[in-house]
Amino acid sequence: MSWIHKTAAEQAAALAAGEVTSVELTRAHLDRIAAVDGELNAFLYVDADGALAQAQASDDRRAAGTPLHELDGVPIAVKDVLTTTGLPTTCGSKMLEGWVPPYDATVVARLKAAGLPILGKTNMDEFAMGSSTENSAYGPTRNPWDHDRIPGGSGGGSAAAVAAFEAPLALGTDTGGSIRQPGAMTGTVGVKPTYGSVSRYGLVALANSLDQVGPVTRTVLDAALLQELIGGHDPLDSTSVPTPVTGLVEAARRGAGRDLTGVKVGVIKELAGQEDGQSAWQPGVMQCFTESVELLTKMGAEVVEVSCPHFVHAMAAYYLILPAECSSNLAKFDAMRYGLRVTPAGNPSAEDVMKASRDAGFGAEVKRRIIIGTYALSSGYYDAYYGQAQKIRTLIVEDFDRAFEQVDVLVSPTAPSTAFPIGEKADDPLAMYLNDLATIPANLAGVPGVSLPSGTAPEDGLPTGVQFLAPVLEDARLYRVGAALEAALTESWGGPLVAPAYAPPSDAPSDKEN
Amino acid sequence: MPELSRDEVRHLADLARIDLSDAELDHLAPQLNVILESVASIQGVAGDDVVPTSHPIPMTNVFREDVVTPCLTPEQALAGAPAVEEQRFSVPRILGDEQ
Repeated sequence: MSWIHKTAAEQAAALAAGEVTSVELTRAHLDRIAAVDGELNAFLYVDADGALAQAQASDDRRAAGTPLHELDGVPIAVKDVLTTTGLPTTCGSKMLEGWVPPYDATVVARLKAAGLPILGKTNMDEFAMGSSTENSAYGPTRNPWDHDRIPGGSGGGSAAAVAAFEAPLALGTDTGGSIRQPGAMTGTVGVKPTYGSVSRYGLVALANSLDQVGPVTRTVLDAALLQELIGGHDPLDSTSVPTPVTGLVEAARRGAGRDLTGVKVGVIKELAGQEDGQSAWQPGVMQCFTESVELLTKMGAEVVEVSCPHFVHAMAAYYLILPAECSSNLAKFDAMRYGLRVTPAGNPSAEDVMKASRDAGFGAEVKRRIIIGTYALSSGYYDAYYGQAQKIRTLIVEDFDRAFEQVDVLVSPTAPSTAFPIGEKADDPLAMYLNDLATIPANLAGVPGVSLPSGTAPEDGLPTGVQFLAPVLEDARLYRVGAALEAALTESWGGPLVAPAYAPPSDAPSDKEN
Repeated sequence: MPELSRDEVRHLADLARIDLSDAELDHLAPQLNVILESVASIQGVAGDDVVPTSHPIPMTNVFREDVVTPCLTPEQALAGAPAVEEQRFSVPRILGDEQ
């Protein structure tokens, strides 16, 4: 099997054992990108020269016996919403076309300090607003499982890159599900860490109280390795929590032993597949979910149903809180200090320039959300909308508190359906928003969540996802339970879930002749 | 729930400094009403006794040590500017015709 098809942990072990060099690994992934990304469009920018130079430096450190980190030399892709010195950062928007930030996001600085070559920047919905990556100003990313379908969003680029073996690791950001939902759509693993446990410095903010950076990978163990690397307190982020989140890799390794004796798992009644009046849960999604829950029981977990009665209001609260925060955040794109400037004819004022630039630079979904946010925050409507939404946020936090008095982790399907065709919901905001039904509550409450593949839906053969949620700062629980289920599912499938067109070449012919 | 008229959408877009074209207004206004209608369901859910949550993990008085640390140079800060003059951001006139 070629190097790109190995997990990040395996690639790191091979580097440590001297079986491969970082230059070889990096070149293999760059070759893969060159071969498949013209079709997939997972990357907005590929930094081949930079990545190879970083790889050479990594190999030099290995040769000198001074690697910086276990993952030193393992290449990674970075979502284009994180600032990178010297590399363009567009956030998928025309507003920032060609902008090269003068500073690194803290998570990017940590990747560099650990020696991971950065392959490039991945595609995304504009300013992370969307669930399909169709809102990118630079064209949609295609799902490796079916090129006519969406890879999820907003981090569809990172998820597709990992699913298509263009990168073993990627960074994503999750505001309402933008790491976890693409994971479900592409058959990959995505983790939204506890709010504040990974620095947001250098993450171009969509909604400050909801955004969180996290790992996008193919295995639970790889996600644990990456989250431990990027996490930890950052004095540059005033919302960074001082308590470190630790023991993730250990929890993932323990979970792989497939013993969940003593673990209590709660199936969230409100996200367990009933008709909610707006959208039916797809039968294949529910079938895979039920099979996953049965496996948890077989591994010794005690599974009970718990009710989180206010989750039904989570989506409405989210689509007020998020636009309110984003309308305020995106006010900084004023065509004065950086980004696009469009100057209308005549002798325009700064305000004229600002309005023309924002009209030309923002796409339809960004405009929709800015206007909704402006409305929700305007006097006379503030209490009815934003104020109410913040109260519902309290009720959702309390739902989680009560649930976690009864169980160690909660479980639900990650998304109500498998990947839908590109274009199907592109101009139907409400249908699009429903994709995040199950992932939004975690962002409102700040709790951590993981999505991992739960199988393929029999009706369309596309991947489905299962989501675990844990109390604030208890991310390790996700890794233990997630790794256990991953191990059990992988055994039942006879190997990991892989998009057929991107599967590794079959074993060497000599093996088959015997 | 009051329906947003086309003129109200234009006003909100003005407040948000987005110069929407007529075609955009025609397209966006009905969509915004569908969104607002769907989020209106939250009204009446929480009683007066529920305190609002603005932030999932509340923290107060987050300060750093009062020491000077390196920051961007003027060249770095201006590197992405649409127009620069004498080491400053150059901007269009800020006063209207009537001033």
